Order: sequence, then structure tokens, then C-alpha cells
Amino acid sequence: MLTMSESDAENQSLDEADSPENSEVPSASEVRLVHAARNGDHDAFGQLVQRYERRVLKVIRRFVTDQELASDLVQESFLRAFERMEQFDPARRFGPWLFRLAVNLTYDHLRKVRRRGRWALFTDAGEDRSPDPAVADPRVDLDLSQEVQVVLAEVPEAYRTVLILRDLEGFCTSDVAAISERSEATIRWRLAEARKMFKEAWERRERKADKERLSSDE
Amino acid sequence: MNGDSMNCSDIKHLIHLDVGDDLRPEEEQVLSSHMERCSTCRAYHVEMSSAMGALTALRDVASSRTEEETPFRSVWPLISQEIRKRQTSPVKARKFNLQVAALSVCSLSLAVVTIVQSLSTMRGSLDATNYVPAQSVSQSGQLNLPVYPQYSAPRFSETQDAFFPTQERSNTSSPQSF
Repeated sequence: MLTMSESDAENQSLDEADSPENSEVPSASEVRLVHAARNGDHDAFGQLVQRYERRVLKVIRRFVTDQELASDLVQESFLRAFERMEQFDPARRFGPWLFRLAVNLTYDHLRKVRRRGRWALFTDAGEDRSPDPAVADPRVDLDLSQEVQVVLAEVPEAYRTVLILRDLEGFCTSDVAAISERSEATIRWRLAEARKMFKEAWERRERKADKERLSSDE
Repeated sequence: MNGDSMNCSDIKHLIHLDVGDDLRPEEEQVLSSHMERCSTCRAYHVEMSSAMGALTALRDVASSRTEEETPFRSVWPLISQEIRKRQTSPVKARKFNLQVAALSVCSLSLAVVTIVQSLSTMRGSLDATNYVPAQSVSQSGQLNLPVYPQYSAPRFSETQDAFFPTQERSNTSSPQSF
């Protein structure tokens, strides 16, 4: 029987953790840089920043569309990493730890924006209004990638993160597990569920679009 | 693991992993042997691959667009500057905010005065209703229990008087007077 819950996947991972192929060893140069950065060497930390900044920016851009905001979040992620270098376990790889900080920071920011929007006196109008027949449907201009972004937003946060990191950013499942601080088996289970949720949401959207197209033709 | 022993919902779990190349070799074998026989799962695999196609299109489009849109600028100069600033700036001394404290004391005393006043008003209104305490202790130390007026049941004739006044009773008792 293969169908299992997330807790089953967690138990399975305990058996897998002992196998040697799962041991992820950081590279020697990275260990050296991290060690120096932990001792307050700015240049060493600078090298780490330059090594990871493009990738961190790319990951954050998956969650945040605004380029400037994404850049600010990248800066904030590295600053936080520098402040918390003492807490980092040097036996582990620096990359997943850094990406975890960046993803968490991005989600914190998005939650803050959502909360602020809920209590604001005025919010952006337009999204919830019924469409004006005189005005052309703006969704026509939405290209495929924007459509996918909208559908992706329907997937719950924990699953969306896994989907973005694995399918959009191409991290392997062990890296996604390290970034999310979950076992690899849990990540595989979540990945399967996330893809299923995405498929359902995608098909729902397609059906809705077809229905609207039919009604506009009539 | 044998594909025959698995039902379609188990196989769907494998399909979700297969579309992203996340299956282990033994799982791949199970999936392919099941798919040879099951048309429903084959159709599901096609649908799943189509949805995944949209997702991978986003991956390719978005990454190329990001690179085209904005030339990359390293954030390290800004980070380095910020780290230096944070390290050189002295730890901010905390200052007592007298205004907030004074405002808090004022509002607290105002609340206390209001409560005391409303309590005394309540007590005055209770005194006006001649409230008798349930029990009290006399000066000699004896417990005085409240004295209630003794209840005596009215006699039948009294109740009759109450319900039928004399005039009406005489009328009802002698219908011949009509």
C-alpha cells in the first residue's frame, strides 16, 4: 500500500536517514568561508553573498513580483544571516540554511502585507468587482505564466513552497527537505499532493475560462 | 513491490511524482507495469503531464524574463555598508518617556474617581429603599435575625368578602329581587 499520510512519510524518513547516500557534506571552500564569516570576516561573508545572491533573488522573485521589493528582501536575508551566523551549524550546508531564512522572511513580509490590507481603511479596488461588459477582459492579456501564477496562489502555502522550490527552482528533494526542515519522505509526499492540488486548480480555471468563452460567443 | 497489488489511487501518487522525475527505479517499474493495463491511469498521467507542462513553462518564461528585465546588481556593497553601520553605531540608550507615563497616571486616576463616584451613588440609592440587612449582631453580641411579619392564612369569610363585596353578594344571593 503506497498511499500514506505525512506522518507515515516522517517515520519512513527515520529509516532513510542512516543510509550514507543521504549525507550531504558541504564543500571545503564553503566550510572555510563560513568559518571565517562566523569569526567576523567581512570579506568571507561577501564571497558567500556573491556566491548565493542571484539564486536567492530568483527564489524570492517566485513569491514576490516586485523587483525592488525582492532586492530589499535579498538584502534583509543576508543581513539576518550575518546576524545569526553564530546559530548556524557549520557541519551542515550553508545554502539550505540561507534559503530557509530568505523564504521565511518573504512569507513574513507577505503575511504582514496581508494583515495590513485587512485592517486598512481603503484597499485596492477592482479585483472583486463584477466585470464591466464595455471594458475588454484584462485576462485576455494575461499570458500563460501569469495564469499559472494565479493558479499557484490557490495552492496552500506549505505545498506551494515545495512546488516552487522543486518544480520552478529545480532544487532536488533533499535540498527542499533541508530548506523546509522536513524529512525527504515528507517532502516527496507534499510534492505529490502539491502537484495534485495544482492540477485540480489548473483544470478548474480552464473549465471556467471555457465556460466564459462559450457565454461570450453566445 | 508489484503493480498488481496496488489500486489506482496508490498509482496516482506515483504519477504525481513521475511527472517531475521524482520516482525511484523500483517505483518506476511498478508504475509502468500498472499503466500497461489501466487506461484510467494512463489518461490521468496525460492530464497530469499537461498541468505540469504549464508549470514548467512558467519556470522557463519567468527566469528568462527576469534576466532580460533588469540587469543584475550585486547587493553586497549595500549589505557591507549596512553591516558596518550597525557595528559602528553605538547601542541606543533607552530614554524614559515622561509624557506617556503622565498620561497613563492621569487616565488611571480619572478611572478610579469615576468608579468611586458611581459606587457612592449606588449606595445612596440602596439606602433609599430601606434595605434591612439579613442578620446583624447587637451590642451585647447576640445575633439578631431579621423579623418578618407573621403570615396567617385568611379565613374563608374574609376571602369571600374580598372577592364578593357585601353589596354584590346580596344581589347575587337573592335573584328574586329582579
